[in-house]
Amino acid sequence: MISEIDRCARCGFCEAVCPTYNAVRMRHMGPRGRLQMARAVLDGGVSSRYVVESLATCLRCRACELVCPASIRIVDAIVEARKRLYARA
Amino acid sequence: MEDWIRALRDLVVDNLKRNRFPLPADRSICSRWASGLPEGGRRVLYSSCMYQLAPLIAKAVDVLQKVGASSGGVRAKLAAAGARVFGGFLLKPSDEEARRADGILRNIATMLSKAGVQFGVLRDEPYSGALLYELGFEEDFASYAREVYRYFKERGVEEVITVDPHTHYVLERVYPKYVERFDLKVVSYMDLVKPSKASVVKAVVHDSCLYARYLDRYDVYRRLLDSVGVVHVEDPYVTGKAYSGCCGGPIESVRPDVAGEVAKIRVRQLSKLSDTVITVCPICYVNLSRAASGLKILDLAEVIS
Ligand code: SF4
Ligand code: SF4
Repeated sequence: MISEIDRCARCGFCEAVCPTYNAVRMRHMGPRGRLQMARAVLDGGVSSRYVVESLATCLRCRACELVCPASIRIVDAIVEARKRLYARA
Repeated sequence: MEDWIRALRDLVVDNLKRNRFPLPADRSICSRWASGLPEGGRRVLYSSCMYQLAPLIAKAVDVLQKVGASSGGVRAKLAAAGARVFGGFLLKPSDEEARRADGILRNIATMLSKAGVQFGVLRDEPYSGALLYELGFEEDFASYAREVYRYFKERGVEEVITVDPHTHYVLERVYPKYVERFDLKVVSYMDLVKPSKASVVKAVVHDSCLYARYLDRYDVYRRLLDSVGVVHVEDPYVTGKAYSGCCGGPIESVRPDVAGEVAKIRVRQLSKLSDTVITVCPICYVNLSRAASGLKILDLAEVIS
């Protein structure tokens, strides 16, 4: 999954269509931010308020995946990381 | 925030264990619509109580916040008592909400019968567990899903007709991952009905993310509307398969403030196309309704019959 995340080109196309990013305009509440939060969790990194907020607020609506030029399975990455995060505590 | 989410998880797990319903509520609200319909059989119409449950989610969050739980984590420790804070208190839909939910389900049942589909109902049907899965507690979900599956099997059910995208998605796509030898056939009522009339002439469709982007039903409800002459206004950036925005509902229990903001933006987009919005999911209906001023929002099963 980490190698999947690392294909992100940080182009930001996904942010344009993400409902939560458009609602709050904070990077960790948009797909490319969430991917980096997911990466940190999957890599065993420490959690913070922002990590939880980022992963817990994804709507799993998949709007981002349909515009991602790298065809990253964004929702799978977020869901996997979230599962890991909750299982850890 | 993690405390808050755990409080929600405790609340849901505790209630599922006791009642096979995710929130503290009187289960009779789930079966009123089914009175007079034949019980059981190989093929069942399964509501998963979603239409009655949807308006209760916001009410549960309200109660938790009132007792001092906070999604910001400030006094979230209190919410760790999640399941207990309700005491004997039961959540109830308003009379209007309950009537509406019953009406939608009855209409679906009538449309199915008229289309020649034979089915039964299960008056004590368990909730599907979707909320638990969506909150991210997959292990809890998995053990509960196995229980629900056993329930269906013990009653000889082979085919389940769903009425909403959340139930349909977990049954068709998630249960098989966790339930060994899962072999229930899952169909949507929309695949089966043949409506003959409609209550509106023109509207904009608000897609369910699950139907449009996970379950390949984007064209199915549009075709149903076509068949009864309802004009659905389309704009690729508002109602296109890729661009149709989410209602915000899936995070209603986690961050109601963000969910509300998402709904406001969505309502603004939809209102540019029509003053009547058709939803195909009870969660979308509730979340958009709260943000809609001057907009008429109707469920598909309130429009076609
Ligand atoms: S669209 Fe894809 S590649 Fe571009 S920033 Fe988003 S996730 Fe990364
Ligand atoms: S799936 Fe999550 S990250 Fe992607 S657009 Fe929807 S809310 Fe944003």
